[in-house]
Amino acid sequence: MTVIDVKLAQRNVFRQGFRSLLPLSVVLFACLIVILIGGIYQYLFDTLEEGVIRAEGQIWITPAEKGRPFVDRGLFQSLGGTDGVSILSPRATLSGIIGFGEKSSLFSGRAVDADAEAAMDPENNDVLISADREPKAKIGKLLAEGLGVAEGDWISGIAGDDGFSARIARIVTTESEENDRFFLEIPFSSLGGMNYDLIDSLHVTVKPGANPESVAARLKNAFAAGGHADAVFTRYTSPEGYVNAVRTIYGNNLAFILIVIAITVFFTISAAFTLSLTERTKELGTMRSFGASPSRLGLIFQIESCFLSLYGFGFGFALSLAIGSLVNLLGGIEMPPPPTVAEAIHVGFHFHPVYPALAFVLVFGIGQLSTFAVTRRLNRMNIIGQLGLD
Amino acid sequence: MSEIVLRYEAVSKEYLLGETVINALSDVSLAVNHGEFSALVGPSGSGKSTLLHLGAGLDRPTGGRVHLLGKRLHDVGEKGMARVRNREVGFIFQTFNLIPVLNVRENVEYPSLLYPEVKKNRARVMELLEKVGIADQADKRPHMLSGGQRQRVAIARALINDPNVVFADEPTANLDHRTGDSIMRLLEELNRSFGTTFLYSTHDEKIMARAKRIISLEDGKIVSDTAGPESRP
Repeated sequence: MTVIDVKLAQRNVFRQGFRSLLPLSVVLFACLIVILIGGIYQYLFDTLEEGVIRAEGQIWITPAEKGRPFVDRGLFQSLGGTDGVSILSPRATLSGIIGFGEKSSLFSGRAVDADAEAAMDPENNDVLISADREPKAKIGKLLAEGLGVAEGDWISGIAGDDGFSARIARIVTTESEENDRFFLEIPFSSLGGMNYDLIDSLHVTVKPGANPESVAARLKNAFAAGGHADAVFTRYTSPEGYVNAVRTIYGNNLAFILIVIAITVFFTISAAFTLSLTERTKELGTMRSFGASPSRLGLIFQIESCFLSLYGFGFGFALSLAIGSLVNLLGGIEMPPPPTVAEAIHVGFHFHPVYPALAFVLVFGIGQLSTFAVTRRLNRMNIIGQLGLD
Repeated sequence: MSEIVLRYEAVSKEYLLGETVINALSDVSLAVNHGEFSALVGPSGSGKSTLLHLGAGLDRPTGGRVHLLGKRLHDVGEKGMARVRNREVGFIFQTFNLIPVLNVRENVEYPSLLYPEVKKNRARVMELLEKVGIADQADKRPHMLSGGQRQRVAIARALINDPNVVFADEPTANLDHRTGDSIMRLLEELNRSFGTTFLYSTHDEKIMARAKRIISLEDGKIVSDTAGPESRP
């Protein structure tokens, strides 16, 4: 490769004037899409990593037989003091009748330890605790509408043998309308305190840095010592695991987009080069007539493809940063919710070098690949035919 | 005795046009001496261009042999042929065939940059441009030049690697008479000053008359091979 080959290639990229913009635009948009979507995903990942919304602990413990008490005060305290346990959150499934004014309804929900829930999920459960320790509840939207309950109203009801009353702290939308129709979450305090016989699941959050497997093993020992060796440890989740799961789903989307882009770039550059090869047939024949070999001419096309990738990438990169900044300036764009999140989320653009690198590798690699077809055609043509002298 | 630089030995060239076999050249034998300024004449389809193409290594004969400087030209592979085209011969086209994205200087220089072993000499480029009278146009692109100027660039390009033989396929056919005449004077001057062998084809009797040797072809065969008017006593 010599300077003149580079000059030739560089000038050939723009030799067709306005038409040169077609392959350039395709490369540009390919880079733009990869960098922009990558940046938006990155924003999503970063946001999730900063504040994963978790409604469950990393270790979920349930009784071997549903409905059978599996934890008592002594065991509960022992579990709370286990090395590596950060939060121990008990839950009890509740159902009963709720009343407000002259209206009443069946409900199905749960009793929780408000402090533990709030510690696990500060954003969603902060309302459950208050300075005056007043019992507060969360109620499903449709149930609240049916009863005519508003936030701040007091409700009362019966669950099993216990009566309760609580102030509605929040009307919530859950994962389904059916659930909304009956959902009620109240703190154990509104039932007069923790009733260990009602607890049907324990959610354990492991301290940062502790190994969930080791903590689980210690908890199992504690259960065994408390006479409940058959407690079921069924589920391990972690913020990292959650983010990774989201990454996998969105990563698959990105991979699909990359495949579509790769195919588009391949065919567009191939078509552009084939067209160019046809238009430059005589010129290529001339170059061969004074000694340029087909591989040498193929090299020029390869360098052209490099320039196309470089220019397209450069413009695409700059444009993606500009659009990304604009998206951030306008407050983000609405995206479909990630798994376990019910509502659409607004995301912005976070620059991450991996996406420009990915975009460049994609357009550069595909560009080079698409020149092979051209080189093969060049090898098959004879000079007289190329010069149009046959 | 003059050294033979180019020798055609019973050369034939057949083309297939559909199912019809066209004999572009039939059993042509010809020797071209070093420093000759020869014209190939004949009607269209007589085989002039084919003879030039075979001598310049642009095409392969279907029969016979072509020797360039005593070596069989078509025995080497495609890469070898490319080297021969680059170093041993020069070709001037009727339609100039300059590379539009390169300027005049780069067009002339390009053949000298194709192989690392070929001596790169910028001064030689400018010397040739001076010689063909367009040194002042060195930075212009081909589309900014007249036909005559373009052909001068093509001539300088053909000479850049000091070839033994320069082939010219109707070099003045796309030019007006006055420009064509100046181009022929230039070729004669180059033939005299560099001792380069020229073999050109033409229809034009005035152009033909400038040759020291005139080879006439008809139906792919040499029908006469005579000294040109300027060589006659």
